[in-house]
Amino acid sequence: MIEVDRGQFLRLGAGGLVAVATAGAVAAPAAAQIPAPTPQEDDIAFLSFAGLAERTSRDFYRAAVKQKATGLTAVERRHLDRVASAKRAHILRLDAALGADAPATGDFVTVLPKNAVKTKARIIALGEQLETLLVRVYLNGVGFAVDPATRLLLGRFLAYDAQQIAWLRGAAGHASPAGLFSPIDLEPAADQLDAFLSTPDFPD
Amino acid sequence: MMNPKRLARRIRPALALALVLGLAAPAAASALNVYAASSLRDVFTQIDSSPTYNFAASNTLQLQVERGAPADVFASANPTEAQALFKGGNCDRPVTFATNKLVLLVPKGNPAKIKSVYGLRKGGLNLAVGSSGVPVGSYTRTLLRRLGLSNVLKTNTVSQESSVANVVSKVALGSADAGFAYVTDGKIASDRVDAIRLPRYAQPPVRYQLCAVKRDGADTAGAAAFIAKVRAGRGRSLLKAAGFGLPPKS
Repeated sequence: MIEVDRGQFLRLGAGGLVAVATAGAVAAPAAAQIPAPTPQEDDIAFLSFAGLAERTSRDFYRAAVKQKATGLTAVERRHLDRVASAKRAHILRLDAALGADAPATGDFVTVLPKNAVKTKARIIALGEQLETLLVRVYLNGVGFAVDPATRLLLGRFLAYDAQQIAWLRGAAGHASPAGLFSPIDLEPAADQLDAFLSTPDFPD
Repeated sequence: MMNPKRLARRIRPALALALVLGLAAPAAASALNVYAASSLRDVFTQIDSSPTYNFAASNTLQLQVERGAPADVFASANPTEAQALFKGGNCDRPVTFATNKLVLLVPKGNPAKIKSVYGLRKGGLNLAVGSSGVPVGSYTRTLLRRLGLSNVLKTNTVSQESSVANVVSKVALGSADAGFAYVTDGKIASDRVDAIRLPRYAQPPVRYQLCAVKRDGADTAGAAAFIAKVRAGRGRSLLKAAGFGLPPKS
C-alpha cells in the first residue's frame, strides 16, 4: 500500500497524484497475476473433493461457533468464526473452478458425529481430523494436478489449512506437527469424507 | 401365374403401408402414450399398466418427440432432455419426480474380483458404459472425472451402450466384467448382478423429470392424470420400493 502524508500530498499536487495512482496500478497486477484454474483431465477430482470437504469443514466451524458452553474462549470463537468465513471464500473459488461440476445446494448435507462440537477438546480433535484430510488431499493435488493454475489454487488452500492445523494444536496446548504430512490417495480420502456426507433426496 | 419374386415386389409397398398403419394404431386408439427412460420400465408399469409405453434412452425419446412421435407424456433420466423439450415448446414445464444414484454392477459372484471402482485402474477389464449422449453415460463420465478415474475408459475395453438396459444385460450375461448403472437397475437384476457402492461425494445428482407433451391431438387430460398418479402417494411409495429417491413433495 502506498502511504502519502498531508505534506507530501500538498507538494505532489495533481500531477504527483497521477504518478501515485499509476504506481498503484503498476503494483496491482502483481497480486492480480494469479491465473484462473482451467482444470485438465482428472484435476476436477481434487477440486470436487475439496469443494465438499471445505463445505463440511465450514459447517463444522459454524456449528462449533454456535454451540454454547464448549469451553472455547471468546478469542478462540472469533478465530473459528473467521475460519468459517474463509472456508466460505474457498468454496466460492472452488465452485468457480468447477463450473458446471460444482455441487448444487441440497445435493449434499453435512452430518457431524453426535456431540462433535460439545466441548473444546472435541472441536479441536474433529477440526484437526478434517484439516489434516484436506491438507493431505491438497498435497496430492499439488503433486499431480495437470493444470498449473489448479495446482496453485490447491497450494494456497494447503497453506491456509496447514496454518489452521497449527492453530488447533496450539489451542489444545500441543506443539505444531513435527513431521511431514503425506499425500493421501482419493480412494481412502473418499471413505473418510463420505462419513460426513448425506444425500437426503437420493437413495442410499 | 405370377412368379414369387414379382409377387413379393408387388406386395412389399402394401405390406409397408399396413405396417405403418399398424404401428400408428395405438396412437389413434385412446391409450395414453408414455415415452420413458429405460430405467423406469418396472416401476411405471406397476404405477399404471394401462398406457402404451415406449421405453428407451432419454435422448432417443427426446428426438422422437421433437420429430412428432405420438407421445403424450415424456419422462427422462436427466433434466437435460425434458428441459430441452420444454424450451423447444414441445412439452409443459417438467417436474422432478424421482432421483437415483449410480452403482458399479458386476456379474453375480464378481468373477473379475473387483473390490471397488478404484479396482478398474488395473486395466484389462471389459467395461459396459452408457455412450456419452445417454443420461447414464453422461452421469458415468461425470462420476469418473470426480473420482480422478477418467483414464479407466482408456485402459479397459469399453463397450458403449445405447441405454442403461443394455449395460445391465451385458453385465448380467457376463459379457462385461463391470458396468455403470443406476441403483434401481442393480435391484431389479439382483439375481444376476452384484452392486458395488460408489463414493458418495462423487455421485452426480440423477434427477428424473416428467412433462406433458404439447402436440396436436395430444391427450393432455390423460397426461395430467398420469403425471399426478406418479407424483401421488401410491406412485411415490412404488418409486421408493423400487429404490428411487424422492424429491420433497411440492
